[in-house]
Amino acid sequence: MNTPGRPRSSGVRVRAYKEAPWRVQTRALAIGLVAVLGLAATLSLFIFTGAQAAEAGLQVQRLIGERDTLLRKIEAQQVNLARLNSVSWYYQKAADLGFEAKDPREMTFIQVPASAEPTPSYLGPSRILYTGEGVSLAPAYRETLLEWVVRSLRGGGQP
Amino acid sequence: MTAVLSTRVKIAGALLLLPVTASVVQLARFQIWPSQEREVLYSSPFPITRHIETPRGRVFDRNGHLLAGNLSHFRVYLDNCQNYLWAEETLVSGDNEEPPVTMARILAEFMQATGVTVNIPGVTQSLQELDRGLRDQTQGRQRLRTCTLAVDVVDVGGQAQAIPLWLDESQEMRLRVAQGELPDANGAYRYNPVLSDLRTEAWFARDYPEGSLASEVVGYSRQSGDRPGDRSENGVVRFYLETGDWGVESYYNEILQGAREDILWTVVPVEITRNMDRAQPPADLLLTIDREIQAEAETLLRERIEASDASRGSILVLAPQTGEILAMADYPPADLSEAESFEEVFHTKGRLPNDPQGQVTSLSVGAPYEPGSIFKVLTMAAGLDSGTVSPDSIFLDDGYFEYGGVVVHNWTARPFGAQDMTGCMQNSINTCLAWVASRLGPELFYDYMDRFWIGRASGVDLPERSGDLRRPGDLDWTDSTLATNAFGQGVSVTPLQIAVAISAVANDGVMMIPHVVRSIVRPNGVVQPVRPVALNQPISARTANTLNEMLARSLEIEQSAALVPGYRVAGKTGTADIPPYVNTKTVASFVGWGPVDDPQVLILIRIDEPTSEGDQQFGSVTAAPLFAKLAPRVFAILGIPPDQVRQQLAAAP
Repeated sequence: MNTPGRPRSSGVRVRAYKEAPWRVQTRALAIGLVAVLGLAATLSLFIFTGAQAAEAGLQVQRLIGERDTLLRKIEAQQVNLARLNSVSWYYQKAADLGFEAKDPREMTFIQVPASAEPTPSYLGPSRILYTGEGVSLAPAYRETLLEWVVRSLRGGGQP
Repeated sequence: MTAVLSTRVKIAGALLLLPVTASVVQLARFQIWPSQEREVLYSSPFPITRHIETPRGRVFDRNGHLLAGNLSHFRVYLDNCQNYLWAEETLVSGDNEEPPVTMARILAEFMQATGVTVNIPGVTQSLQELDRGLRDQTQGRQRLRTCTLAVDVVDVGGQAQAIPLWLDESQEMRLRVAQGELPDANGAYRYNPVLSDLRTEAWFARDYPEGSLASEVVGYSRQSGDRPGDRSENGVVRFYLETGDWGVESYYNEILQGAREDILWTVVPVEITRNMDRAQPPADLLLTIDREIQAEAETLLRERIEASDASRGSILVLAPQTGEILAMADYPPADLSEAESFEEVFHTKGRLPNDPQGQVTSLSVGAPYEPGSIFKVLTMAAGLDSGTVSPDSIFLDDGYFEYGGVVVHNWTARPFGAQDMTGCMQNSINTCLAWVASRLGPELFYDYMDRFWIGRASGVDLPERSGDLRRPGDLDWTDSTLATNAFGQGVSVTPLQIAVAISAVANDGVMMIPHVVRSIVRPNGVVQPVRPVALNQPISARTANTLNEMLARSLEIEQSAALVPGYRVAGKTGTADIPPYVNTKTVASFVGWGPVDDPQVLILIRIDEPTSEGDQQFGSVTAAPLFAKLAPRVFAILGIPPDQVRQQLAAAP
């Protein structure tokens, strides 16, 4: 039966029934799961980014190692090449082939106008530093939570 | 309905919780109880100390041929060393069992893989003692985690000193093959788990591909552990600075020396870059030395020394117009690949009657001697330039000349009679030059010697030792000193000093500062050339040209053994007694230059203590013919045509 003379109280929701407990539980569970999933997603993002950074760092270390190895080899090859082209080797080879030093009076000299002094054929200067090979991982990438906690409590901190 | 729903919700909750629980368990497994696989990570040392370095600056000859470069050699470390030392002390293998992985077993298999010989008991014992000492110091909290391997341990002054173990490239390669990192000759990978904790670290080592060529100029760079900046690790020198001992390696050490320091190596690349920025690469040097002229000089010098049974000798080839040293050869030379032979070589070059223990690295710049008659060139130059004498001045030689209470005699007993100044130089008449000096007087004579820079270092860019010249006022100077100085007695000079002084005669009266570095190549690629700089002009160009002609004519009149077919040359022989004049040994020398109308090369030859057999003690017999052999080779290498060809080319339109 209608009661037109009584105004409805504004802002107050009146339910005609009590909310079922399973709906409350389901909603709580859903909210909890969303929170867990959100946290997991955030952590995943951090871990993913961190892992990528670590991997990149390792890759950089490996590349530096490879570069240094190559540069060392180049430096050594230069020495070995110089040894193979040493003046004593040329003298020996010339002697083996029966060459003899020529008297300048028997030489033919040709005057070349504006001839430049021969340009030294040495390679450019070494500009790159050399490091040892090998990689190293910071504890953050290899220790357990427990170890991290213990280290933090002991005042170790992140190096 | 409600009961059914509640059950479903519980089941759904349980199902949803299952992966969460699994995740937590898995996380716990990873984070609290690490798996066995993860144990591998624990062996990865952190923070790891590594060294960064630049190679030492290279040294080239004037045409870009490498004289000093860098090779790599490798230091060997053993990680998890404490485990193997513990196994060495405690484990024994049972019957029919594989022996435990002990320190001795690792070293034995390392030797087998690389071919290096290691004193296994000595090294193992040394490392055990180090480990024990570390444990005692830290009350057992720390042990030796990484060991630096050594070849042997020796007792030095009651202290055990480890001899560092270095692998060359081939040995390091063999180790990596044994570790399964590289395939063997058959292309197969063989993994030896016993060697898995061995790792190597590359270091640069100086190498001289030309061996002994120009060794007294290039010098030697020594690695040692007893200099500032060096430190030791596990009894083995860990961090050393390579320092030049002599030659340009020593003089230019500051700019040749590469950076070398230890850093904490982390995974963060930015930090590595910051560390690396601290060390700037060194510069390279381009020398004035021509390796072909150097080789010719060394070969001919060796032949002459052996033929004349001399003890030592040197040849200096100088470009008088620029001061560039084209060759500087010593005999015996120091073989830069055999450091242990240096001491004997330096002793041979430095031993003198009044200094039996002398050590000299370079005869040309470090061993002053009495030059004898080649010094007469300077006396005559002073006489001519001051107007005291002219080329036509006549000296009547009686075979002796008395001055300051002493009587000067000639090298021969007979008098030469009336001689003009060319004749005095040609016959190398002591009395004549003493007469010229007496007419100059002490003040003018020593003033000219100062102008010729006698008694002062020439300023060459090498570690240099100057000779002495006593002057009026010095305690041991007397009037007679002037007379003997006039023909090169009582004065000492290095071959370089006298060569630079005489080069004024070959270069219109101007002496140039001698130098062995032609240019410096900076790390940024900028090439800094070394410009020729005049040292002094002791005589006028007119005097220089006059004396130049006199000395050319004197060789021609004498039909000297120094004459070079096709080229007109000038020069002077020298034969000097060796102080304190206790024997009849001499220093035979010759200084010559050419072509006379445009002197481009000056050569000074010094032969110490040649045999007197066949008059080889005289410079005219021993040193002059050597000049005649070497000079045309030098002219040919430098592309200087014979005089006739040169004049034809100059006259050609």
